[in-house]
Amino acid sequence: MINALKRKPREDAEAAGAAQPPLRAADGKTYAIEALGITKSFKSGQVKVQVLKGIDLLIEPGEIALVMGPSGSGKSTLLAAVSGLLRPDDGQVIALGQDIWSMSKSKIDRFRLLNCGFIFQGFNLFSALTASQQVQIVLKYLKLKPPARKQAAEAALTDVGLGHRFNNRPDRLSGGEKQRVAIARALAKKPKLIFADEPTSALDGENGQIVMELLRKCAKEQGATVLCVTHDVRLASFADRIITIEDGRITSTNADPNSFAHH
Amino acid sequence: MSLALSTLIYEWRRYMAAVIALALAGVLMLALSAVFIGLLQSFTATIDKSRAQLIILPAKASSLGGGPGPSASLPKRVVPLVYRHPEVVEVQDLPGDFGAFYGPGKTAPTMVNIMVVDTAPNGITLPDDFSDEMRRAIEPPYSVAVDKSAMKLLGVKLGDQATVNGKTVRISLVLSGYANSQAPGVVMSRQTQRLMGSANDEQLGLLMVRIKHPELADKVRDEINTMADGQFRAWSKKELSDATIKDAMSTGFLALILGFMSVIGFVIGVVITWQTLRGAILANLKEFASLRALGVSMGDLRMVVMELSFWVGILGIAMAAVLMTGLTVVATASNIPMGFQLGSLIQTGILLLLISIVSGALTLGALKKGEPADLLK
Repeated sequence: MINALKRKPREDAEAAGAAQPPLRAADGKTYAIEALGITKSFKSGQVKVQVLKGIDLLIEPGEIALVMGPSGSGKSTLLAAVSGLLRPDDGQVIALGQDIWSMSKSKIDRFRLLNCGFIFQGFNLFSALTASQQVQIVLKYLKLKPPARKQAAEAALTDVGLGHRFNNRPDRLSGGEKQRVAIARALAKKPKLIFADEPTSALDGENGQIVMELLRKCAKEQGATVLCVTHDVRLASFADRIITIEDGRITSTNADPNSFAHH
Repeated sequence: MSLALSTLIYEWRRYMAAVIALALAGVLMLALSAVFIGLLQSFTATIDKSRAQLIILPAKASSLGGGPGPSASLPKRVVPLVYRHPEVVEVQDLPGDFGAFYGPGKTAPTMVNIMVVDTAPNGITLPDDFSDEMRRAIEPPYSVAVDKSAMKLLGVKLGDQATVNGKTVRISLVLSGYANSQAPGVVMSRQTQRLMGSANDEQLGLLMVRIKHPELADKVRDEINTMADGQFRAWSKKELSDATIKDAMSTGFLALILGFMSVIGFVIGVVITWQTLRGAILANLKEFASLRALGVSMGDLRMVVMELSFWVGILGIAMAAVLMTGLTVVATASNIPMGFQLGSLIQTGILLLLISIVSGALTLGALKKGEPADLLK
């Protein structure tokens, strides 16, 4: 899977918005995310550093894929490139059947709004909003009417175990609860793709477990694909597949979870 | 409730600097003009409070004291011309003068504004806030009224004797609502004015006109102006009051000062509001970036910032209103009457809103600092 794949061209690659069914690749399998030949460099002063050095990656629908690797290996940059947040220098990303980097900025925004949920290391919650409002604000931009927004937000918060925290602002929530609000915000719109970047690194072990169980539950119940970047070896047991990356190159696309257990 | 409004309410301390800056900019723009309008209104109090519906001025006058100059006057023969309109029931001139006032024991005069009124019941120039008792109080010859705010300056109290233009008068009435910070007003009857020898029956300053049906004032004014054939001009009271203030405010040094204050207020308002909004947006940059990641467009986030700046503007206007009301109470208590015109209040409100909107527009650039990819660390 590391090798570049031949794939059928998509006539509707330009069309943004609601995603197509997962693409059927040349090998006959369908994939939620296909990344082909991704490269990315950053300038650091006078020096140009190549962070991603031609990455190919295939993620199947409903799969929980963990991307692991040392600091500076390029895993967060890879996540940004395949999720439509950071344009690669070269290469192609096909997500849910759409060549996202061939789309306009506004269409990429629209694609993310309809299909992507993000969970970050920081919780990034507005201090002025209650837990329910944090979730509703994203649904508002999906043009849901206020009663439907409220209902969906409260259902998402209940799903993450915060049924009793609807009206609490972040200053009244623990770190684990804040991350669960952020997860509810990402999941309330029922995304087909969930991108998580070090989602447990600001949490204790117990809350980290809860967060990963939630992501796993979401993937299995909603059929969502999860791509999670982490350092946390304890998360290995939650993954369907572990991808390792080092120095901008993928070193394994199906590493043995047990090999991380002793780290 | 929207994100912008929730943020403003919850983090009100953060936005207070902008709200106060806007309010002070508003006060800066309004205060000077309010003092000036108040001063003008105190000189024209007897016109504004008269029972006449129309006022006749020389043809070329653009307002009270505007146009051909203060010496312009109407010849006496104009009076019968005005009476030719069937709606007109009474025409009287409204004399006014300045005088040197000596309170008891005072050796230096105080310049006073002499206002002459009719003391007949329901007299046309009798101010509409004069009760029958007040009217009778200044009816006897050499009986005058002064505003309570001027008593200390003039050194008199009710019942005292004083000297105006060399004649002895008696303070028989104390008024309120006739404060004048420049020249205290002395109100006297037409008869007292004649006795003092300062009446001029041939050249009349302006004429006050009472008509049968006050609700027809504008129509009658137009008809009288048609009849006048360029010899004089009839004004409604409000029209004249507005024109006088507009004339005075838009001429020379005052207009320059008012314009300068508006520019200073605008610039200070924009800079402080912009920097406050910018600080607030930068503090929430990661939150905005996370919304960007979730697919909320930059245009939608810009709308949040613009809505925030709009609400800051509304709060600024509300605080300016509170400050201005307080300032008016203090000023009035200190014998500085303040006057407001709806037009300039609306203008100031719009200007404050404009300041906040411009500040919001300047703040939009800060949003670009929050790239969602930066959240992936």
